Amino acid sequence: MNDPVNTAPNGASTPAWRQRWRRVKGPVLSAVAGLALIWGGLPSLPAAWGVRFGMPYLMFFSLAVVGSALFFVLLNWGPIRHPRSALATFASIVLVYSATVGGMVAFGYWYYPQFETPRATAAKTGATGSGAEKRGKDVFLNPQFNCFACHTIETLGIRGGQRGPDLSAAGKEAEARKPGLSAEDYLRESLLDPWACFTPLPASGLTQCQAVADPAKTYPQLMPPGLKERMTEGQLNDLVAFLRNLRGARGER
Amino acid sequence: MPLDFPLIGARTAIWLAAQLHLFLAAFVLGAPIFIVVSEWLGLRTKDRRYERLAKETMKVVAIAYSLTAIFGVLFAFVLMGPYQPVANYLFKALYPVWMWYGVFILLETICMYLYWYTWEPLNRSLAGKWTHIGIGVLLNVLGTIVMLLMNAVTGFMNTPPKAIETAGLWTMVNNAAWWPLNLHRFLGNITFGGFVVALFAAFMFLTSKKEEDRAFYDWMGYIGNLIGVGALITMPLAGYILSKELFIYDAQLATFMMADKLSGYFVMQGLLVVLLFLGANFYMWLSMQRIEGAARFAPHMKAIFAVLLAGGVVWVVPQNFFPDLLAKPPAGVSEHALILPERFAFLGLMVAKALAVTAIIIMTFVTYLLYRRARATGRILWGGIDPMSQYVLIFIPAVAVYLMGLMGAIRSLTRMDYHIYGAVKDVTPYWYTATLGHSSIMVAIATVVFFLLVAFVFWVGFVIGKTDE
Repeated sequence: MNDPVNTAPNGASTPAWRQRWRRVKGPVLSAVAGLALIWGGLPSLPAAWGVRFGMPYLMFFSLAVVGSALFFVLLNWGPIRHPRSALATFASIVLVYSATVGGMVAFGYWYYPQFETPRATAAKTGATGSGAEKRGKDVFLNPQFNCFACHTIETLGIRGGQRGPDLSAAGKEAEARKPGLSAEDYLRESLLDPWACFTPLPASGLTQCQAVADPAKTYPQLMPPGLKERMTEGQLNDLVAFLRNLRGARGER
Repeated sequence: MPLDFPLIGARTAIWLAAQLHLFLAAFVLGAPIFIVVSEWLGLRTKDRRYERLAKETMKVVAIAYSLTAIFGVLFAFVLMGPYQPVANYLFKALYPVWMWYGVFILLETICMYLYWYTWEPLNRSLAGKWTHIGIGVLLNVLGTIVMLLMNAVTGFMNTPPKAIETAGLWTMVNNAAWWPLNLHRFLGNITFGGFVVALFAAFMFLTSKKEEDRAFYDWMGYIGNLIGVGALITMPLAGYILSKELFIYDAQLATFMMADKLSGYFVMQGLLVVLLFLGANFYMWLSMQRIEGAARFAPHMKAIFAVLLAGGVVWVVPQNFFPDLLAKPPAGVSEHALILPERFAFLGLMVAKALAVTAIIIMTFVTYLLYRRARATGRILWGGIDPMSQYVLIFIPAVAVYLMGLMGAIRSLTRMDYHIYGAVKDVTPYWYTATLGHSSIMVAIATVVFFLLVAFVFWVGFVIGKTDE
């Protein structure tokens, strides 16, 4: 690999750069094609297809493509030279080690988004409505109960988890969920005993909750365990008051 | 807060002291496990390389042992100053554990020096050799007990008994995180020890001038990496067990880790583990090239790398780019741009991640099977490996050390604003969860300092010694 030229069987010489290019052209061309697909192909597809990725994802995929190409370039590179002096050896070791660690810092510090506000402050802002509703919102945002880990309330801008349903219209929907049961009682029941009546998925078009024939055949656990024990009666009442007042349309901000 | 730490603050001080102590402790606990196995293999197979591997690694351990103790003392100093209230609480609640810790650390130290300094005298007869191996086994037993005792304290800080005021000693020791942590750290220590041995071998390979030495260190690097990867493959399962116990203990912990402020940490963890597997497989690819006639396996290896990279992308791709559950999109950025499109939402779910990690683990197995196949049909030219492989063996420990530091940060930050979760509040100015950016810098500092310390150990133990010879 150290020879500047190589002689082919027919006597013609191949320059070193051409040999090198032959080894790396596959990964390089694949990377170019991958980047063209990410930045040219994907954004031009119809939005209805549901394959429009945001900028951070396009960056992520680009880094993955470039990183993969570099990886294959290294695979094809061939033997490298042994460092000639002790100093060069030590410097090369330090370089590889610190470049690796530096790469990690670049990912964690510069690339990945950071949170800033401690939750205690964030949780208390923007509460509106009666005293009970305000306290109920605090209960919802309290990490001790972690409601937002699974539930989003889009109308209030609380972007929580996706596992449970969006509660933007929970109060309005509760009025019709279970005939004969008030909205408040239904909310209380669905919090403490979600198996009593199964909340339908939005896509089903159903408004009333459904009786669960066999809990073992559905989700193993709907609500976090021990909620009844950890939440005081007052906190439960406040939470129900807060949820009762949610009457917005899903997806409305 | 009784005291703060000048210039860098109490949290930085305790973070660095604890992390460096743990890095060194992981090495001095993990390495002796395979040192003894290697010594036994040397006796059984009469292959002198095993004996040399065991002895040279033990020399590194013996020097690193002092540094472990020094950082342990520095850790204790910071605990006694700025973190006196929680240190007092831990001493009072788990006093017998600390007492036994002192006893066993003393016994382990005696055993370690006995093991090291009787190597030559007991090497003269078969009975002596078996006695020496017996001391080595005892050293590992004592080291494991020391680890179990400290894991009880660590686990107690994460998952103390719910009725903490009335809990007995055994209930506090046998807390929810104790056994999962024992398993996770035991395997992690072996992984860590293997990769540090590989780092040492790479260091020595690159600085060796004699072909004979290069052949030995090439082999040693291969063995170190094999041990590291062998234990690494089991780590995701051990991690799942630990996470599951935390989830059962308090569902809030799991969501805080996986869906809230620590979710970015787990994206980074995924990246680091993928890099470890890529590095380990890349090293095997280079190792295969020093086997006569192994070139025919190259096309298979390229297919394996394609699967590894695809699996890596699936594992690392985040469900969303929000740093926590309550974060809002920056001005001018739509919320949808920061979330996976609905059609690809499955990529963010645990099912996809678990499938990806399974594919990565299976492909790593296949790599080793291909290597075995190549070895069965061709001769290994030890020492003839591409020097690039040694840089891979430097890259892998850098990632492994960083990963261990990051996971340590995750475990510690899982306590949220508590010293002892749910029982003793952190009332220092550093009560809040550190951002990923801050943690990535802290872990980087610890990783680089650890590298400088082990480089110092290698230099003191081997480079200076060589000059004298």
